[in-house]
Formats: sequence, structure tokens, C-alpha cells
Amino acid sequence: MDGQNFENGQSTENQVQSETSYNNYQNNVETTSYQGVPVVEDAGSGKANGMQIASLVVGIFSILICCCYGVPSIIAGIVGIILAIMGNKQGKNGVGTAGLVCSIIGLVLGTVFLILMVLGVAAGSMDSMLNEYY
Amino acid sequence: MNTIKEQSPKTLEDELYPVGLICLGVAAVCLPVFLKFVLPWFDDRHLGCAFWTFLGAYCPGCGGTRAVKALLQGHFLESLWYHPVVPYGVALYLMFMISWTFAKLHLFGIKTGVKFRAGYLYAMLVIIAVNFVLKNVLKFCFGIVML
Repeated sequence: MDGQNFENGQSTENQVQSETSYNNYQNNVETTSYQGVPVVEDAGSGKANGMQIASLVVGIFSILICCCYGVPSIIAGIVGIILAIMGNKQGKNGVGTAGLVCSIIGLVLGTVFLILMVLGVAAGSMDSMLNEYY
Repeated sequence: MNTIKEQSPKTLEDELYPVGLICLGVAAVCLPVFLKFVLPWFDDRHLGCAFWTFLGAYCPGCGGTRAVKALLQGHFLESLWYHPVVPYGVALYLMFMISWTFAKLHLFGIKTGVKFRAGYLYAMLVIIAVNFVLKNVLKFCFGIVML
């Protein structure tokens, strides 16, 4: 009788009204919930964050300076690896992986040239090469 | 009555811009010191590229210092010849920083600067790799010494 639902103890008319107001509330929440809140780009969506970009830049730099007798490249490689690990904690993507790879390559190249230089100095070959120019 | 002030979302470019300004300051101090004191110190002792010394081949960064010097003297093509990644990197940096400076100062009606793309850095890696391979192939296969 007149839409009264005796089983639930609630009239269907009130039920419809409450559902409508609930739907309106949901719509309002959806349209206004994230306004005014500062949002840093979501790294989980696959976009690079600042640390990952920095790791790639430092990794490229470490590869470029690997010829400078190893030490600057090793330092840059270690810094790049640390930045990549910290950046990848917020979400992995191609930039972070590339930064990690480049930093490792720079670190390896720097280590190789540092060892070559030490062996060269120990063997006296560096002295003889330098003496050629004096 | 408290009102929540709406803030526009912070973008990656907003984080990169101050880093770019810091890099400019560091380069303005370190570059003259490097060119005037560090480089001559190495040249006086004939301490060149270790890659060249031990392997007789060009390293991935060979020509970079000469490219920077040529660019500072205004010789863009010469800089491109020595190492293309140097003018590419400088052009990228200037494009980003100038566009965002104009945007932040609302100059010339510019509202937003150049968006950062990871592809720019990937392109840099490709340029370094191609330059490294090309110079060494020309040297060892054709006897052409580019530097």
C-alpha cells in the first residue's frame, strides 16, 4: 500500500530518496575530491620522477668521463646508482632502469681504467710514456 | 572562516627548473676554473685520455672538452664536429630554461614552457653511442682520424 515495504521497515519512497541523495553525494565527491590538493606526478603511473632523471643524467656523465683515469667516473657511477635506487623505490620505469644501467656501465669503465692506470704506473709504463715527452 | 587556497599541481618541470638554475650557477663557477687551471695542468703533463693511451681508441667522451671550448668561442659547427652531444645538450638546456623563464615571467604571452620528455635523454645516449662507434670505425677501418 503506497509503496510501503513492511519487510524492511522502510518505505520505498524514502529508500529512493536516500539512494538519490547517496548518488548525488557520490557525484559530488567524484567531481570535487582532488581539487586544491598539490599533487606530485604519480610515479606509479610510469612517469619518471626527478631522482630517476638525475640518475640517468649522472649515468651518462659517468660514461662520458670514464677516460679521466677512473676516479670521477667511479664517483659519478656510485651517485647515479644511489639516485636510481632511491628513485625506483617510488615506482619503476624506463628512465630509472636506464639510469641504473648507465651508472653501472660508467662505474665499471671507471674501475677498469683506474686498474689499468695503477697497473701501468706499477709496471713503469706510464713513466716511460711520460718521459718520451720530456 | 578558513578557506583552502587552491594550488595547481606541482609538475616535474617545476622541480627541474630550480635544478637547472643551480646547474647554471655551478657551471658559471666551475667551467672557467676548469678551462683556465685544471686543463692546462693536464696538458702540461701530457696526461690525455686514458682510453686513447691504453687502447689507442676514442672513448665515448673524446672531443668533449674541445667541443665545449669551441662552443664557448662561438664555433657551433666545430663543436658539433668534435662531439655532437655537447651542442645538443646545451641546446636542450637553453630551450627548456628559456621557455620556462618566459612562462614564469609571463613574457610574450607564453603560458607554459617545453615539456620534459625522457626521449631527449635517450636521444643523448644514442648520439654518444653513434659518435663513439663512428669515430672508431673511421679510424680503424678507413684510417680517418677525426680528432
